[in-house]
Amino acid sequence: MEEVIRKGIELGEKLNSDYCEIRVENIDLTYISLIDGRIDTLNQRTELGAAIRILKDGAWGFVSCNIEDTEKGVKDAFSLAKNSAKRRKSKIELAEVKPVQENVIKKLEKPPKSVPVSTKIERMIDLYNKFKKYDPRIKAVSISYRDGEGKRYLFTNEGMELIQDVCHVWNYCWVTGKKNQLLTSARDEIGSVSRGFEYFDGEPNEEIVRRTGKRVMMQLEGKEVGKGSFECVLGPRVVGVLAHEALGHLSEADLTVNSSFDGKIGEIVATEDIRINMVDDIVPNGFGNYKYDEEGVKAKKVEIIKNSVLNGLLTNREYAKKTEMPLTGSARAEDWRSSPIIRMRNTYFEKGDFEEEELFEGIKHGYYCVDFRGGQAELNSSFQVGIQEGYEIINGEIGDPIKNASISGMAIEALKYITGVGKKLSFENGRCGKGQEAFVSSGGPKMRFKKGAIVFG
Amino acid sequence: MFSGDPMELSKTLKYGEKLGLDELEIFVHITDVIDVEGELGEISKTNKAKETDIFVRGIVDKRVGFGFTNDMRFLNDTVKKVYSSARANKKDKNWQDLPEVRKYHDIEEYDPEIEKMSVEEVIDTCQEIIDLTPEGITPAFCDARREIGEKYCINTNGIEIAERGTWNAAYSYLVGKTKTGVTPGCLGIEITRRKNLDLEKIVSSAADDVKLSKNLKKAGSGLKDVIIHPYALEDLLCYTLLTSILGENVVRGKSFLKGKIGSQVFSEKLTMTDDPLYKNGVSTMKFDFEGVPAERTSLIKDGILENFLWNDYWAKIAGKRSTGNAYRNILKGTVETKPTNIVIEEGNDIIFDIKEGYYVKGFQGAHSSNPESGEFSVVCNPGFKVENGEITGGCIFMISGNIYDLLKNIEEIGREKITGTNIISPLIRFKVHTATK
Repeated sequence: MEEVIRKGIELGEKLNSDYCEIRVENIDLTYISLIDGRIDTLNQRTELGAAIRILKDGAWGFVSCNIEDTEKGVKDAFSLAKNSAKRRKSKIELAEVKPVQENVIKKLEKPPKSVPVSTKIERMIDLYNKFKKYDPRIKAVSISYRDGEGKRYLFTNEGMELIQDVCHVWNYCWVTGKKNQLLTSARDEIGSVSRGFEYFDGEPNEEIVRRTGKRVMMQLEGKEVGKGSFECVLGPRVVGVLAHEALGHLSEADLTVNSSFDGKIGEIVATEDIRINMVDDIVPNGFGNYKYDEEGVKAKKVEIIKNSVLNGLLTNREYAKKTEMPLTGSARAEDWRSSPIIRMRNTYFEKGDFEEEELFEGIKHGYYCVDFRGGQAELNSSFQVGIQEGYEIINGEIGDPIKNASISGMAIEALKYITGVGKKLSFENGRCGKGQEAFVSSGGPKMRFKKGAIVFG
Repeated sequence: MFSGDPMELSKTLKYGEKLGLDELEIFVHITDVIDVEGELGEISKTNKAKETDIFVRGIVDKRVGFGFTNDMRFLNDTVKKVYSSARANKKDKNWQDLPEVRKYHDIEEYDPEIEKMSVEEVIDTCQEIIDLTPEGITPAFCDARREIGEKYCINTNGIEIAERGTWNAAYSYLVGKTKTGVTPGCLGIEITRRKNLDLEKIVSSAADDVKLSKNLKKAGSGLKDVIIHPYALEDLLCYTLLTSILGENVVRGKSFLKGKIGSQVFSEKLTMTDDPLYKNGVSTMKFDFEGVPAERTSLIKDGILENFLWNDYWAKIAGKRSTGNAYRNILKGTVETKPTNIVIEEGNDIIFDIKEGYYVKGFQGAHSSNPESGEFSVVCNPGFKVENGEITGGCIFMISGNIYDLLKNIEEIGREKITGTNIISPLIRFKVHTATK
């Protein structure tokens, strides 16, 4: 494998590329879908392909192809870059990195490839059976399982020769409940990139069923939410979506320049009454963890908001040069078909010093949002988060569950309405879709917002 | 017609039979793409990709196995893996057989002019989009693309069919500065099957929205007149109505529409068809992803629910006939059901003839809707204010409700169809609850 890649790099050099990068992915994937207890899909496949990216005269050419077509791919990528460059006024340049020669090994207790498919299926069938026993109102259950194990290679004409083990396990449930004519659903998503199949030892089926089943029942029994702005407490999973969707994306340097964060580095962007810190980092068991990004840059902590001031941006080599911000190791690519772009890893608000009761104290009528079903933000920092577990707060106490709620607001305004930050940090694992899929974690402590920040609808 | 080797594929069928497979299906999907990206007013990257995806499905004693490869040379190995995965699978008592031969419509959306497009030509298209952007507006992102696709399906039930198609697409995503920040990102997009992109229209529609958004208006709360553009409507329908209209969700008890065929479920103003034969449609095709002929399916006629959409497996369980809506998910390898071109018929009305209301071109958070209950709660962004029949400025607000109630309460449907990406619909005016601070 290495020899094929090196030959491609040599050709890139010979053509006089300013920068030539070949990424190869060789990974075995399993996908199993269980629909109402029946295996709908059982798919095992090997992904093997090359992604060739060449910078010439200040523009990019990118080709994805089979390994044996690498040399042709290099020639094509070179000519694409040259053609693109003819129309550019300014040249794309890259921030300097020290080339790494390293083999990053991942040690797994139960590597996914070593686990028989029958064991993977048994776990899913057990999960389904437990859902069916949970409550007769559960009418349909879709369970998806994915794993992957293999290697990613990154070689460049700058001398980078990086080989990283990659692995993931992932489980997703979509559970439908019915009461009389009312249909509803809840979802659950978990996964790991640092552990093998042993990850599920710490995520027992009983617990998945308990939390997801509870959410379905709450959507059947809950109250409709009030419309308009209310004082509220957002739990770690919802705070995490806010950190990721509404603020994290604005701090991806390729998006910042068109966003509400443009030109605001060094400015106060959150309340000054409490110190607000929001970061993107590598965290224990983070679903967005890796050692080096897809440009061979070591993943570093980014203090996006530090003491309520906008402080840092996520960069790749191109944008680190363009914005003169530090390299953060945030270039990620979904697979060999995709070119690396700036992505988050594990994005969260850091903990504060509010006791649990202080967060709810004095709220006469508000809401406590615990878990979400999807979220989306725009460059103007407008955000929306669907809520799949939430409660009323009445006189500082948690009250009845709510259903069909969704929250929205302008994140840059909402940050100024934070009135409390809890002491306990937690995370949720999920996927981000910025044109390509990436595993990420997001989270934070519980946070309280005064009325005027967040609109319920 | 098919650039692969059909002889080789039919030999593989025989190989599968020899292995012991009762049935075997090979589906080949080839895409050849040139894509040029622009960023901040400059061409940034040119991409080229030719990909072959080969999906294999084999059955032994009602046990189904799936396989996938990118490389024709590994086809026999993949069939071997399918055989062992089928044997490892549990028996599916509902399995009947693979799709059988049916008559195909004589339709092809292929333009040799698109196939002939050079890299330089696609770069020029992207540059023209940048150059057309008016002063004072940032061309944040843009893209020009040409794509050639081929599909080929062969199975042991006698199906052997191929088709090719072309697509030419471009978009412009523009942003404007305001006193306090930025406008919503505004999108102009066109996807066509012939080489006839209207670049001026793509850019001007996005630029006009940016200009309007700079004049920020206040939105009100309550039951309001809201006009929804197909760009926004398709997002909302995709995560609500269009999941409930899939036969498999009806069989599984996941659809609100179960048992409602023949009933007046929606406003009598609403007529909706799934039309894979629609001229120049993004999803226009001769056959679906398991070789079944694509055909028009009337979903809603004058508000009455008429049909659901089926792939072959779920249709046979329900005692129906596949409507030709099978779709393969490349990542998962699953055979799913998916609408093709959703066409909503025109009304007769002047849609903006209102004293005060709103106009929406994009929703945030449509994917967080509850597809089973049809409940949605989304942010309208870009959203606009309508006063005395004129769009007067931009505003951001939420709307929430239930898709079934929404489609019962259609106020008016416009006179002219607008092509979104997956939906072709006029503007539609609804009465719906808005929420603001």
